[in-house]
Amino acid sequence: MIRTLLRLPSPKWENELATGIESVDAYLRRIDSGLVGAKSVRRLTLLEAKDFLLEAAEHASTEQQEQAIDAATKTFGDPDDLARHQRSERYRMFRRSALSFGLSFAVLMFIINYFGGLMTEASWFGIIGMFVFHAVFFGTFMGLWMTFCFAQSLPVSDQATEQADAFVVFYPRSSIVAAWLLIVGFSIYSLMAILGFAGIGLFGAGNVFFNLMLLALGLWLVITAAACLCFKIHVTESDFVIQSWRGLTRISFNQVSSFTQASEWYMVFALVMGRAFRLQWLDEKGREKSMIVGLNGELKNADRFQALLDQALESRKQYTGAELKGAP
Amino acid sequence: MVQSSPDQQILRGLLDSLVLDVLSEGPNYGFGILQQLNERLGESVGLMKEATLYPLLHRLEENEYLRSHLQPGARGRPRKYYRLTPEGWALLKLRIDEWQQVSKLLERTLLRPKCEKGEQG
Repeated sequence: MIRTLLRLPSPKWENELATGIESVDAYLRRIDSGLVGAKSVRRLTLLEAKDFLLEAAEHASTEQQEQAIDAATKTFGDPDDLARHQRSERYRMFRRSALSFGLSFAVLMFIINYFGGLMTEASWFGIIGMFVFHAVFFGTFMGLWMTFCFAQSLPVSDQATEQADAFVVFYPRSSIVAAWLLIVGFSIYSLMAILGFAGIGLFGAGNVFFNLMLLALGLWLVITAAACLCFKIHVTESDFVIQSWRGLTRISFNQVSSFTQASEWYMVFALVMGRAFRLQWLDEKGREKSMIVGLNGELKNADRFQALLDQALESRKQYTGAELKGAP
Repeated sequence: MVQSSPDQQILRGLLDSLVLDVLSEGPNYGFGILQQLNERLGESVGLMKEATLYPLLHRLEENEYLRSHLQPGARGRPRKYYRLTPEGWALLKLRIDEWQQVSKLLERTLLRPKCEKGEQG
C-alpha cells in the first residue's frame, strides 16, 4: 500500500522503456514492480539496467544474444534484490532530507516568530509544539518531494552546434514556469511584508524584525528565481561560457584551479538555487578569479558539466592509479 | 538477519577495490566496468558470479567514494557514468596498501616454497 502510494502519480510501468527484447522487458518490469518513487525516479534505475542489458546483447552475436542477456541479468543482480536496494536507498535519503529540511525550516520559523514578537505570550510547551510541528510538517513534505518525486534530469545533447561534445546546461521549460510562479508569488509576499511595517494586512501583527525577516526571505526567493531565468552554461570540449545576470564569463577548462562545494551559507548570500559551488580559475593575466555557481538536479546536464570539471582537475593531479600501486 | 561468510566479506572487499581500480583509469559505465573487470580477472572471472554490480556501485556512491553523471551513450541512450571522488582515491590507496601487506604476509607464510618451510621445520 505505502509502496504504491510512493509511486504516485504514475505507478504503472512506463511503456517507453520497453526494448522489444522479451527477456529484457520482463526483467525490467520485474525490477519496476518493486521500485518506489514517481516515474522519473524509477526511470533512473531502469535506464541503468536497460543500458547494461542492451550493451551486453549488442556485444553478443545474434545466436548468443539470449545467453548474453541471461548472463548479464545475473551479473547485474536479482530484480527483487535490486528493487529492495533502491527502496532502502530512497528510505535513507528520505530520512536525511526530512531531518535536514525540517530542522532548517523549524529553526527559521522559530527565529522569525520568536524575535518577531509573535511568541511573547506563548508557553515553552507551545513554542516546542510549534517547533516540532514545523519540523515534522515541512520535513515530511520536502523529504517526500526530494526523495520520491524529484530526480536528476536526463541529459540532452546540444542540437544547435555540430560539435559532438558540446552541450548546454540549462533550466527546462517547467523550471522556468516554476521560477515565474515564485517571482509572482513572493513579490506579493514581499509587498505584504512592506505593508506589515505600517501595521497593515496579514503581517501587520509582528514587529519590525518580523517584517524585515519576511521581506528578506521574499526578496531572496524573487531574486534567486529571477537569476535562474537567464542562467545557462555553454560547454565545449575545451571551455565553457557561464551566462548569468552578471553577463558572460568564458573560462577554459585548463584555467580552472578548483571547483568545490561551498558552505550552505553561500547559497543564501550568493543567491543561487541548489548547491553552491566555488569555482576558481586563473585568467589570461594569471590573476586568481572566483565565482559561486549554483547547480541542482533540475538543471539539464549539470551533472555532466560537474563531471568535466572534476576530470579537468583530476588530470592535473599528482598521482594516477598506477602510481598508487608503486609503479615507476 | 543473514550474515555473510568470511569468504563473501573478503570477496566484497576485493571487488570494491577492483571497481575503484577500474575507475582510477577514468569514468566508466556499468557494462564497461564489467568488461574491464573480466579482462583483469582473466581465469578468476568466476569471482564475479557471486557479485552483483548494481548494489556495489550504488553502495560506493552512497558512501561518496564514487560520483555519477548521466550523458548520452554511443547509441544515444542516457548512460550513467561513475568516477572516483577524492574519498574514493583515498580508499583505493588504503586498500592497495592493505592488500600489499596481506600479499607480503602470505608470501612469508602460507605461500612460502615448501622446501623453505621444511628447512625451518
